[in-house]
Amino acid sequence: MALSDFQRALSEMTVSPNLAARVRAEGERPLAAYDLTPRERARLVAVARHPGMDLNCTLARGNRFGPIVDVLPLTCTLLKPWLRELLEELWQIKRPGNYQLSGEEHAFAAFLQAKLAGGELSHPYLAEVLEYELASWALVQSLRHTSAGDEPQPGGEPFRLVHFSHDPALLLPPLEAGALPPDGLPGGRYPVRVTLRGDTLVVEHEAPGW
Amino acid sequence: MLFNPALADFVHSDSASLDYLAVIPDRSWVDHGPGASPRFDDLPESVRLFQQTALHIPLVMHSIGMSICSADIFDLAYVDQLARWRGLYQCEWASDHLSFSRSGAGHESNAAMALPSPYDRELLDLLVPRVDTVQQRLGCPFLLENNVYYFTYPDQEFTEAEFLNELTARTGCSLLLDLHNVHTNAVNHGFDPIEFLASLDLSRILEVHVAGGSAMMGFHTDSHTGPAPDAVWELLRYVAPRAPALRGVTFEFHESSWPLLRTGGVLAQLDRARSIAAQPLLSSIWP
Repeated sequence: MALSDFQRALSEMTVSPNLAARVRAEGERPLAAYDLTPRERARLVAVARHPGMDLNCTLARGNRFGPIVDVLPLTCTLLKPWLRELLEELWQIKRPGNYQLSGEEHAFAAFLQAKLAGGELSHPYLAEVLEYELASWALVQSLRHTSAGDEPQPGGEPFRLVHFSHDPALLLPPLEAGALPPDGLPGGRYPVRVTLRGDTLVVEHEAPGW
Repeated sequence: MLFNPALADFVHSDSASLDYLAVIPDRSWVDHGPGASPRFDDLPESVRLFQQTALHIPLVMHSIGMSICSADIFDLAYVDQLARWRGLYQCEWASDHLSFSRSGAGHESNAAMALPSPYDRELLDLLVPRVDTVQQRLGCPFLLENNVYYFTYPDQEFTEAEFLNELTARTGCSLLLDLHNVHTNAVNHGFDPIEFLASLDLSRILEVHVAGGSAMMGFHTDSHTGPAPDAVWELLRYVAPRAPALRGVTFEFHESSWPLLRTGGVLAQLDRARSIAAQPLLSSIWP
């Protein structure tokens, strides 16, 4: 079990900078839960105290952040002032489950939705921006899973409806430019149809005359 | 060249500039994990691209998910998926990394990056039968890539070169020598990369990787940013004439560097690789 536990401990130190910091500060004690030889314990302490371990932790977090920002770029921009803190909180409880790092984006989305529903997080634009990006991603995913020879789906082009409560024409462009949208946009009902047309997402207002 | 999504147009428009294309097969499927049924779902968009490309250019595989150094995981279903993929595209060879990212059989977790395991006899004994199995199942030459590492383990039983030499000698597997990894390790840990290369059995090298990096937190990192630096090309100048089994030099870059490189920049890297790989032994320069 020793090598197995050594690798589990190193992996945990990589995705949990807190453990790495504790080992750096306290030595072997935080490693007591692992079945390690004295040489392995000494190695892990040396690794924790090596400046390269900080870089390892940062690179691993960058790898985890990749799929999140790929799928939810506008959400990340919107949350920029709190993003680091939110990710820290999520990653304290959620470890990467596979080598493809799939599901990181959905875990973050579910984490935000739970916080919104529970009142722990309050932001006037967050829910609708998140809904819009998840809908867009679902459509992109349907394209990735479609073969060239597939028959067109009944009903034509795939689409999703998204219900904005602030004007998306004012909300989305600043986010797409990497900037925060203006505060205090007037509320209202803005249903939007996001359609996958070929390989392009087209956003149209659902209500006539909008 | 190692394929990335930014190169989708390039491989169509400039396929004549490529002798082969290295691809990461893991990007063409969704892996639902051990025990799932079906375990793997192909992504038709990627499959289509690779099918079309394979009509014009030989493909080689460079996978990322084997985690062959994991003490408690040796994923034969994954290896069989690679073998299936290899058969589909008749890949000339296949490679993965001499590292682990997966741990915890039964309740698997991931380190979110490739981690080195200490170069001890215990690891060697773990790897030898695994490499044999992988070679048998793949039915093509199998290469392992040397690591980039940002920390070092004290008290290892082998040096990195000794370990690679022993592993390749005992298994007959080949080496994918990533020269940017060598350069990165040499810069960060203060050793002479030529001395390292001189202690390595270069006859085991079948493929070389060249890439660029960047500075971060006081380290040089293997970020695959932009073109390969001159120092990496100098290492290739040393290795190429001494590696009789060398069949390919692969330039890899992260897709975010495409705006920096574009077609002209990529072609320049390929030309530079070709010009060096074709040179005769420069014994008057290198010992």
